[in-house]
Amino acid sequence: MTRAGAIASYAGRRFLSLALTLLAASVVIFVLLQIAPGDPAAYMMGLNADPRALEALRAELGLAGPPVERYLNWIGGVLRGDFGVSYTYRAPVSSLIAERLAVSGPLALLALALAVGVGLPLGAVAAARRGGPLDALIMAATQIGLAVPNFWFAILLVFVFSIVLGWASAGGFPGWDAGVLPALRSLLLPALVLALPQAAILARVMRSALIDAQGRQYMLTARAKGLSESEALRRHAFRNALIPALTIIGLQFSFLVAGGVIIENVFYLPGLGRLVFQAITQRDLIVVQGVVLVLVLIVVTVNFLVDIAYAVVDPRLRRPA
Amino acid sequence: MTLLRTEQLTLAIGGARILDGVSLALDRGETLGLVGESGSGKSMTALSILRLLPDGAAASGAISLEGVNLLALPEAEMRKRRGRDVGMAFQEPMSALNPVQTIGRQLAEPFEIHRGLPRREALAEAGRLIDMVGLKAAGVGLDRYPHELSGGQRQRAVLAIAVALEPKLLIADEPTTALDAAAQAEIVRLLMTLAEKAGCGLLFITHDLPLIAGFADRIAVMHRGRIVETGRTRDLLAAPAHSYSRALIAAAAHEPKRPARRAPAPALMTIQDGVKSFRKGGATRRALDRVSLAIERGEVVGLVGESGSGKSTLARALLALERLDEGRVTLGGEPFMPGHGRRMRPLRRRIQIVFQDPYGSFDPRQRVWRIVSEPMHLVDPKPGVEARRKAAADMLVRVGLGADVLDKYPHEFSGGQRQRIAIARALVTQPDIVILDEAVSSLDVSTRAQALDLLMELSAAMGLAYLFISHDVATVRAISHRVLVMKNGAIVDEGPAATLFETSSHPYTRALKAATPDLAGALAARVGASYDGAVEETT
Repeated sequence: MTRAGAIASYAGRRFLSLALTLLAASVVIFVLLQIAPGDPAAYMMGLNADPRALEALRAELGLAGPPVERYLNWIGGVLRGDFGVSYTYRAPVSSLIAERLAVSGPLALLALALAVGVGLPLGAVAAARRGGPLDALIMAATQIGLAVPNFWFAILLVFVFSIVLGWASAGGFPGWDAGVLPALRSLLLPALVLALPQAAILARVMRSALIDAQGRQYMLTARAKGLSESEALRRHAFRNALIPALTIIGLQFSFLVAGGVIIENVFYLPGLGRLVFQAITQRDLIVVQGVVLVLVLIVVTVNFLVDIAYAVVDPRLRRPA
Repeated sequence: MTLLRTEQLTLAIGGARILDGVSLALDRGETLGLVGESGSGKSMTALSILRLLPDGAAASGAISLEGVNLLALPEAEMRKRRGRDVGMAFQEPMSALNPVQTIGRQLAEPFEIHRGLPRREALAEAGRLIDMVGLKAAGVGLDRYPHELSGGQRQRAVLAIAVALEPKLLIADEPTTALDAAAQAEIVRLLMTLAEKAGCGLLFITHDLPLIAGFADRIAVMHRGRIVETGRTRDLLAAPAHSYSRALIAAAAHEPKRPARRAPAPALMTIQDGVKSFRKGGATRRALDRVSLAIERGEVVGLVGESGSGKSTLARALLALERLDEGRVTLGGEPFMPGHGRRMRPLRRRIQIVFQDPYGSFDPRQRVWRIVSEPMHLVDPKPGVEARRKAAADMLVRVGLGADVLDKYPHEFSGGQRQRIAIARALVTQPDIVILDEAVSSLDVSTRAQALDLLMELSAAMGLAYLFISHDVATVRAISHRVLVMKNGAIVDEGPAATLFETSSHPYTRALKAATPDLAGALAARVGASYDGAVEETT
């Protein structure tokens, strides 16, 4: 089988497991939110609501009827792109999510690009200069990167770059309609904050994976061919070290999409993290369900992509079925 | 001019002296065998020549290649010589190749580095190489990855890299240790052909004296970082001057005394029509194909066959660790099948196993007494700590280690000592049969001889039966009462050890015999060969 063919067949099998995971996740999400305390209708109508009005509101919100029927209604809608209507915003959940994803998605991508762009080369340099002063410096820097609380770092960046230097906005998001550059400018500082600990983790993972690869015998073979230490590192160790790094990158992206709620608050960004946080406090369960399902979709998609990347990097995974 | 000469090569790593005044010489077209036990400094000598020593290593003395002192060269100059003037093949063919790169890319690399060829042309050269080492004939293309090759094929790829640029010096570090007898013979033949073609000097590093005796011009014996003796192969083997060389030769020729057999005893363990299939890549492969065998009380049964022939599956089936698709296993007349039933426990106590790599089968954080007494949970009623320590101590004394090792950890022992611990662990429940799965293969010749003697003694004293699984035909022949030959999951030949290899008409058994290096045979053949040489020289 050709290399591309082997990867495609591998991808096909992974895709099937992706679809099944999503289906199972949708059931779990629905059941969990049924069990969760708090009646959205009661929350909306207040404490002294008339029971009959409450009943009517429940029916209107789709909260009445047997659970199986409600699940099927919900998932049927989701498949058509209709996630229901938010109880509090009185707007379609799908458009709410799309709006927020337009902020959180690019923010996560930007942060991940920064983390990969900084973390991997730093890890590689540290491994190449193992035991030297540069290695010690980089490792110390990654310790700091991991230890700094992100909200504090965010406030520091806002203070330096927007208040003192005036290079960036202190917060808020102008929207993509205002042009790509202003939007990116407002995402840059939060992305930096999100990227810092991730870059530190990646640098450390890359360093230890490269050092592990350096101890392998194929590196000795490479040196015996006449490659210099750094050439051998680049040509033979790097790709082997990429395998553990890919795992981490996949986990990081999933985390970054929804894990930025604190940073979104510091920078007043209308992101997915804030949406779900508000929805939970307001018992807007239909929004919570929708957002969580979208997050699950993102996580399994990223895992799927990471699996494909594994197969591209590591031929041992491309076994035919 | 002498091709390679090391003079008073001394190497220290972190204060420990690894090499102590090593002086060697090798001419073009010559093969020098560097022989010694693991840890004697053979590999470090090779790495010193390439200047690929671990961090913190300090080498002194001189290593000259065609009169140029390599130790004094700047790194850039040294780099030009690696791969071009000196080719090296490493021991473990799996780990010596990059797992995520195609064979073609790895074979092409020397041409890219030293000749500056663009990828396409370098790949064309790689294509020529895989043809030369016989991979093309085996259907292995440039686009294959290391994991898709067999052990022998990987070793061919490693050799191809080493000889790519027709180096002046070729170093092979235990290139056949991981291979079975048939593949080993093929690789040695290939290596000799390649070295001859390139007209290079060959430094062959091995612990296997009978193997190197078959083809080296000269042998250097290494012990504790020193060359204790060097000489022409024939002279050195016929009249070794140094006591260590004598011990090494004696150990290689050592034949352990197989325990005496009484008249046919009742069958202790049987397997009848055992079938086990595994699915791999859509295809079903029979690892066991209607295997039947009976082992008697006190009998030593040898099992030989190449890797992948089903030996380990058979061992697992006999240990009731593998559920058979068909057939049945009995132990002491009772059915013995996977499961945890109450009935199984007293049976499990009666069969134990010793693995090839004892270190890998020990928990590194457990003390020796715990390791040795672990199988005693199979004994009813369960003995207390004191009883277990006592049993472990008795067994450790029995295998030749003192009772004072009880509270040590596995890493504090040498390979041979660890194997004794593994044997003690296998015997602590007083079993009737022990499966020895390549149990002495990783030991040096002298340690191996001692371990085999111990095993034979224990069998005679305790009436133990062994199933001795090995790819080492010479040892199997020496210690077994009966030998089974396995191929493709089936037992294809069987007979008394004393006569099977001499009289069998089965082609596979004969091939195994022919591929097995043997010291006396190698020497006899060499005497003939050097007569030919003498005739040539005088005419």
